[in-house]
Amino acid sequence: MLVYGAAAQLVPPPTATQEEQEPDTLQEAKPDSLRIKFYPRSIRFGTDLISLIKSQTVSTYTGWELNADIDFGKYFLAVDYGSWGRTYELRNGGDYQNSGTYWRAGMDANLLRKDPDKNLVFLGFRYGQSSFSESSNVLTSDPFFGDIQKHVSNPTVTASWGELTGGLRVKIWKEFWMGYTARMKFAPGVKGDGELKTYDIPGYGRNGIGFYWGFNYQVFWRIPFTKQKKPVPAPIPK
Amino acid sequence: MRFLLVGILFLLLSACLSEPDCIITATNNVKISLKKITSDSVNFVKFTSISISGADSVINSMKDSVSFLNLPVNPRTGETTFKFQYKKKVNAVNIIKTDSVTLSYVTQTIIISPSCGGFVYYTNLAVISTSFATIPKVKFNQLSTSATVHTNLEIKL
Repeated sequence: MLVYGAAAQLVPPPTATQEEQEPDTLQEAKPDSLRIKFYPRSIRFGTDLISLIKSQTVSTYTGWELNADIDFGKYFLAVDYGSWGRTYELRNGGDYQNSGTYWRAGMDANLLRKDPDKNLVFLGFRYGQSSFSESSNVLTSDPFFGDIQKHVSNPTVTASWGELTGGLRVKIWKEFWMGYTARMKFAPGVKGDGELKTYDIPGYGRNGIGFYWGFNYQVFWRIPFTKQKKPVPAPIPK
Repeated sequence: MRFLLVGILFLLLSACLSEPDCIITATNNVKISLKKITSDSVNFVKFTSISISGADSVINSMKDSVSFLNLPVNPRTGETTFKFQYKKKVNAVNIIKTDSVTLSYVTQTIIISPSCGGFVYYTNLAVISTSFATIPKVKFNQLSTSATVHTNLEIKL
């Protein structure tokens, strides 16, 4: 917006004849980013601050997440990769723990079209997959068989799910960006669980619930593939 | 657009239901109903003893005749044999008969939530072998404390 303003200020107030001759001077000076051509312009690498903070403050969670997206104009190809581990003490004795990695891939569509900084308000989707192991100790008591501690584990479990995403990315300074992503996760499918029904899926959350919500607060560094063209000021008439 | 807003509102509200209820129906008890061989009617039987494989104790001389039993399967194994000693009238003479049935089952541990706990559920109940004249019938193959599950196994004797 400031660039437009500067461009407009460089142009002296047009006379009636100039207006007739050059009616589209400002439109021609639009930056390239406003064109919706599908080609990669930049890549952003980032991380989720909530995962890092939770790892330090929540005793039941350890994890981190890396994020990247590639700017294709209106659309952004987004990829996430992370690690996730949970440890719970169970109220009736025993415990549960899991540990694994996950990735997500999908597209975001930018709903802001006329922002020269290419700030994003986006909606999108993801496909997520994780591989992990989990185990649990459960205590039971029976009048005939006495107290029993049962150890069960699933050494190799895979899970997949879908996500609808929404959020924003804002340019803070130079190539430094911040933003958040809200995720509505759904349709988890688990393979490889047996004696222990999967309770928590890394990257997804609790298994067996129709929808699960996630939220990331992210910081990014953007690397442009090509030098961004500056808006061309309108020629100053002699 | 209105449908989209209603849909988003529904999804937001559905998140409020994400914490599961602490309803525990896990049990290792098999509900056994006793029927007459000749008909489908209830059979009241006087048991002198019932032994359960893997258990140290034996259920001895039950006071009354019963038409229903609630017997535990062994949590340590995937099979349990019940050995029944019971009184039966044959040709107007009371005799003590001994019969057995071996059941198999699969266990699955389910964590409901950390605040509720983890429990072992028994499924896929099946009859492996029996000495009863009629093979006991599995009516419901999941063990449950739920009142909706009346009978797991039906024995005709």
